[in-house]
Amino acid sequence: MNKEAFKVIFDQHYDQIRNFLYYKLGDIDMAEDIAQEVFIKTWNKRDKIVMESIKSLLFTIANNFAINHFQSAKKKYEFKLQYEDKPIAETPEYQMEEQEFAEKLNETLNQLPENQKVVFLMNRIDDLTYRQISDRLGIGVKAVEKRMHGALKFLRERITQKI
Amino acid sequence: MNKHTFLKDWMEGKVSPEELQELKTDPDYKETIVELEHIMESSSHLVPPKKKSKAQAWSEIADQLEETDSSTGESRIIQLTPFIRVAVAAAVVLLVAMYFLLPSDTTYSTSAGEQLSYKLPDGTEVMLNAETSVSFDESNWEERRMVALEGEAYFDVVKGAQFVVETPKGRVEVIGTSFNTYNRGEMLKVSCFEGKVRVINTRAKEIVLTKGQSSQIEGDNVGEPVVFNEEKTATWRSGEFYYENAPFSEVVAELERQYNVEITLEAMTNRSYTGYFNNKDLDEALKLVLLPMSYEYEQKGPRIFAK
Repeated sequence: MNKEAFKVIFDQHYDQIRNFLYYKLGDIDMAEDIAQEVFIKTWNKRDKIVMESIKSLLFTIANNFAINHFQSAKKKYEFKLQYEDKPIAETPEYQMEEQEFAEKLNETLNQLPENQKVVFLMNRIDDLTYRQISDRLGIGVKAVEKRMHGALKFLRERITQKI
Repeated sequence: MNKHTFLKDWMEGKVSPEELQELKTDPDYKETIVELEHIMESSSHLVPPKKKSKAQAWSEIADQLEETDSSTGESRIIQLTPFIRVAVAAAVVLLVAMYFLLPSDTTYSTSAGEQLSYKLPDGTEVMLNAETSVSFDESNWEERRMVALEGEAYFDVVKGAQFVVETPKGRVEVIGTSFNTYNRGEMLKVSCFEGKVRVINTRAKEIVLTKGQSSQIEGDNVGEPVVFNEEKTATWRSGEFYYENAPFSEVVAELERQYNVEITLEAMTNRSYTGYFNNKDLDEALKLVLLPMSYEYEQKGPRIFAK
């Protein structure tokens, strides 16, 4: 594999890997640094790679790196709410309500068990189906469903409690 | 279906839209459904923070990826016979001539009310504010990274050879950086967010800006670097516009560009404007801009009259 071919892989997967690391670590600087390390490591292994399994390989490497960095991480998620596809006028009140809701969501995401959080965010933010998530994380589709279910239940209980 | 399995069924797509519609009228389910939909909808709009662009992340690691396979072929030299030499020379002339005849500029542009982001051939990201155009010569890009700009754009330049932005009022030269260039009417304003840029006006006067500095070119004058507030500069990228002691005409012009409207002022005030508006809600924006300047306004479709 040459650099150009590798760049295609990088372009396809960088965002997802970076996001995945952020979901796990809650620290964007660390997530971005490790995402780069993941690709350097993958490049160094390129002769042994089976292209069909590149996705799960990238995620496995990312997961391993994340585990090594885990203890030192102070998690604080700072997601922003962004409606790119909706430039239409909305009342300031509505915007404020949404912002408030997003803050609660952020806060509650911090408390969500990690397994559930990762699956939930991969589905919501990266738009991955349960099957795609199961491929990437090397777990069954049933397990993904279970975590997703747990996450939603947890979020709903906590968020509505506070409102 | 019962209440306990509802969440699971819903997630697995076992609840049809019709069924869902019907359940929404059932007070036992209504609240739950609304809340779940809200969580699903809101969370799909969450955006993780981002410190560096994908292009930047790639350029940082690209050098570390060593191409170990050493199968590069030797270059071969072919001796040409005189006839072939002539033929080749002619072909080259023809090609070069054709090349100059063909329009080779690629242009990206935005109209009023529009903001778009593009990738240049080297991965450099350029984000265009409303009514802005950039053009460049794609075929010659590797030799010369140069774009012509009219309007306002934010560049996140991939490291490499010199990168030049040409505007009618002067040029900006960069080596690996991100910066905002605003050129409207007589003014050119450059704000450097990262790295270093050199700004040169049409009279060859120049100035170097480092991270966090900006400069304005007006007429022949190149302004001394001033420190700008990164939180409030080039925020058009997120649809927000902050002003501090700005000429009011500049603010009104931006408002027109963002909403594709025409604003007629009975008399232009000479007071300067300090404030904020965003491009999400025209009515709110008009209030935030016009009322503090003691204008009353009336809106008829895309036309706004203020006095």
